[in-house]
Amino acid sequence: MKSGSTLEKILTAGHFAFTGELGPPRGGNIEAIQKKAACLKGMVDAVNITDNQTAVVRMSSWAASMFALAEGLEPNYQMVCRDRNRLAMQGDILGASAHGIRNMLALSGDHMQFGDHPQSKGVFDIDSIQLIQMVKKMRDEGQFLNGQEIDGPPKLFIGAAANPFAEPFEWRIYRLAKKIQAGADFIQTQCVFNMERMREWIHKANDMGLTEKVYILAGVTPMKSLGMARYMKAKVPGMDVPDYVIDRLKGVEKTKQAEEGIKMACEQIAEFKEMKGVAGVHLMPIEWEHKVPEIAERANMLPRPTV
Amino acid sequence: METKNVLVIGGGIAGMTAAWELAEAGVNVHLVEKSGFLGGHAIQYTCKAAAECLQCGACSVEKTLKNVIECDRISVHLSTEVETIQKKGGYAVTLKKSAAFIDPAKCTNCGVCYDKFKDTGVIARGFSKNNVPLFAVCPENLNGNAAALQSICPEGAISVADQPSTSALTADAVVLTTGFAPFDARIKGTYGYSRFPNVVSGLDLERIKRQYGYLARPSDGQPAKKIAFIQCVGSRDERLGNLWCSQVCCPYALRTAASVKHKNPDLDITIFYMDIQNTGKSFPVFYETLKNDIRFIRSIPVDIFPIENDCLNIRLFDEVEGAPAMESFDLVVLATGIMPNPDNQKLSEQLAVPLNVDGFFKYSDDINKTSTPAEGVFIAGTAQGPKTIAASMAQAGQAAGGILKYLGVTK
Repeated sequence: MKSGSTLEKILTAGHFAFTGELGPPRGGNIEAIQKKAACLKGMVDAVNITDNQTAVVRMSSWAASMFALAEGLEPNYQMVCRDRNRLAMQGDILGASAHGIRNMLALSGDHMQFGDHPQSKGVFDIDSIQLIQMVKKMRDEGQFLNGQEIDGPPKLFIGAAANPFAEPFEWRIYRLAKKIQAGADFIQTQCVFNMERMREWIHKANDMGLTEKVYILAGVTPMKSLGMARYMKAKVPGMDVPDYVIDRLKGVEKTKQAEEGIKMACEQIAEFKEMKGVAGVHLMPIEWEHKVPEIAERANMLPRPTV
Repeated sequence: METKNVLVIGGGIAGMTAAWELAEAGVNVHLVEKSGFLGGHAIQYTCKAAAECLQCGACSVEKTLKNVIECDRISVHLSTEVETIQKKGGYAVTLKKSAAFIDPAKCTNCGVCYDKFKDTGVIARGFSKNNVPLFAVCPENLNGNAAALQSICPEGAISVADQPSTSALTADAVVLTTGFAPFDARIKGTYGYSRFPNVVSGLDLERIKRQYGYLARPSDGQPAKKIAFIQCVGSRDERLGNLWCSQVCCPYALRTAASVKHKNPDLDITIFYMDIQNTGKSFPVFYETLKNDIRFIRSIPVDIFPIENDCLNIRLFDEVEGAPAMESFDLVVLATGIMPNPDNQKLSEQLAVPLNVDGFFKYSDDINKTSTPAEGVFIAGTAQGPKTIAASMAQAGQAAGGILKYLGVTK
């Protein structure tokens, strides 16, 4: 075991993993975390704790991860390269691991321009691939980035993100390969709506032998309404929402769109279960945590394995 | 010499064998059984013969049961539990008998009550016709059906006013044959037992075979064509703390597979295992031959997902490919393991016979696994640890031999 995390145990045993997401509050509102955590407990194997998601200030991800741990969830601690240099990053990694956090997701981070402090300075001292490499070096070699020895190396299951939908599409698979080469143990993809493209991407990953080296969790976001689908298609960078998703939501009355969205998500999960090279699903309901139990149940993901 | 009395606790194959052996040697036996039927778990298994007998031992249970019932020196106490037991020279015992409701002297095993109340759960049916009565009333389901039940019996054998009773006896020696509890497959949640109709346990499969005469899918009664056996469900499981091998599930699955494949060569059968246990005499030849007809995959599946038509997708870690794999089946049989009987704890305290770390009775002498530190108390069968029908009978015979020596009947 590299980290001994529940997620690692579940994936290495061959279970179909199921992870969720919890955005920290914009303030010190612990009750908000507890409320979201209650919806996720027992429903998923690990919970991503986002790090100033969309470049909007929130409670720091390691602090919110600690609250998640206290609520009995297994956090997947996210860290972006936008807000910290390598000193701060390594310090936080040591602290998180010492506190018992066992999974981490290394990300570049959305640009400050999209956030609530557009005038802030982007750090990007190292990028996401270098961050993966750094954590791996810290864990496996017991050394800091500068080669000096660590007194008590961190134990973390290293995750990375992949976006099969950004252009140029042909390059996406090589970026995945780089992240695996750098030391990623598992991958969580961007929200998948375009299933054809996802099938093609995973097919390439299988052909290149990448899925034998890493566990890929497919991202699923249930659409809450036609409006949300239209917004994601038009405004959210990196999202690929095909017309047939929009058309399907258009085809039902407004009050039933949420139900249709959940149905679509469950159909996706069913397909991912059978898709060669997919090791699990990462569910990202946007401000819809209370729907996680229903989705988990309807997608036949319960009970979660105990390992 | 005065006639000796022995108390045998548990009426499964070990208890019945010990009782019969002792009675044959001229000892009086009180055989106490908690349920309404003799035979325990062993009587629930059907014959596994293929082209020839595969020595499963199921038929010897029926024979032993008949012997016990016909033997005058054995008093069978059904629906009865040991309430107190104390060493006073011999053992002073009080028995608590639940209300039985059916008078064995009047019952003719006609089955009218069972047929009428089948769906209410009021009447349970035993497995051996030699068991009189073949039926028992389940008091927890009696509500509202009492009057109708009493009047349905053509022989007037049912009396719903029957009350629990206690009785006392003294015994010169005691045999603990409390048997086992089958692993509750619901604990392995990701297999979906009790949620997906076509995921069944080995004992369920025996019931299905009795009811339909073939391997039917519980969801629609149609014959299953593609069947998976998953071994080691509940045993050899580090996370559950059940490190022991249950020893019977491999022989069970292999013989069942051989037997049903012999009857229907079109069946597609796969056995998922971690390593195959010896099934008895001629095992190497049997196993090698079976490999021609049955697919063996060395991996224990981790998840079961329902798909269309109540079929099931089994997800496992394929050790050859080094990656997760998925395959669909229309019936999945979980080879559930042997767990210690939860009643062992109370008896252990009453008789000062310790349990081992797993919860089975601990033997005190390494070369005699029927021995206990308590004077005149012996153990046999799965109460001592997992074993097959044949091994339970052998150990019961050994315990009986030990008792006869202890009582001075033999030297």
